Amino acid sequence: MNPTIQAAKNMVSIQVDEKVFPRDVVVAAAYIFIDRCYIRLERALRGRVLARIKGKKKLSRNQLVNLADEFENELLHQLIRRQVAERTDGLREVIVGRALFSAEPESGAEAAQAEPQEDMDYLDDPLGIAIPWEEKYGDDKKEEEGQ
Amino acid sequence: MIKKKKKASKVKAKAKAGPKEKTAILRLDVAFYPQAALKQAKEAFAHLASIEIRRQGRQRVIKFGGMSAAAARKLPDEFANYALSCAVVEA
Repeated sequence: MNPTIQAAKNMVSIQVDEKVFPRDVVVAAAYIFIDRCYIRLERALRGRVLARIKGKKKLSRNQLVNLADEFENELLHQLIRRQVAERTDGLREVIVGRALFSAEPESGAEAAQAEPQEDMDYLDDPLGIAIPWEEKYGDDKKEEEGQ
Repeated sequence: MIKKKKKASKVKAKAKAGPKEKTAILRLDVAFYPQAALKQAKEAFAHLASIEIRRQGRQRVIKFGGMSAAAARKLPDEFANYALSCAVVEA
């Protein structure tokens, strides 16, 4: 994975072995750099992937070297993410399955409670919420004032 | 005298082409840039240039035409980035 620095082109090229870092890992790593670099990926000889990374802003030689190092770190990061995802695939399925199962409404009393009452109208106001305050408590207040 | 005429014809040719007649060619590997991603990118950049895509072996050749000088400098690179992001999202 020896990076080739091309300072005149503001670019660094890195060859990655596909046996070590699969193609989707390289793509995922490249995607992380899309906001600050222009990326081109292509197949190279002997099962390798060539990543050309060009800075959107002018970069010094040192910055290009740092960029290459960051890309290599990101490759490792994405590889580990992939391995962890593969390892915990079954567990994730169980968790999601259980979450979906518990979200289903239960049969019986709880389900009956959750269902809206069919004989109710939207105009019905059993708690008297729509009655103005004056109508509801106005007389009491007047009586209090009179006393 | 002949040199002057040649110069004049060059200037005329440049004027005919106009400042917006910049072209560029981009080659992308089919393994990393699927057709659907390129199609999406083409739609996204259609207002900036006329874009033609054709396959040539294991590459897709993208031809940009009718670009402004400012767009010509960045458009192919931005197009490649956009296509890559589409490929990642679609995958």
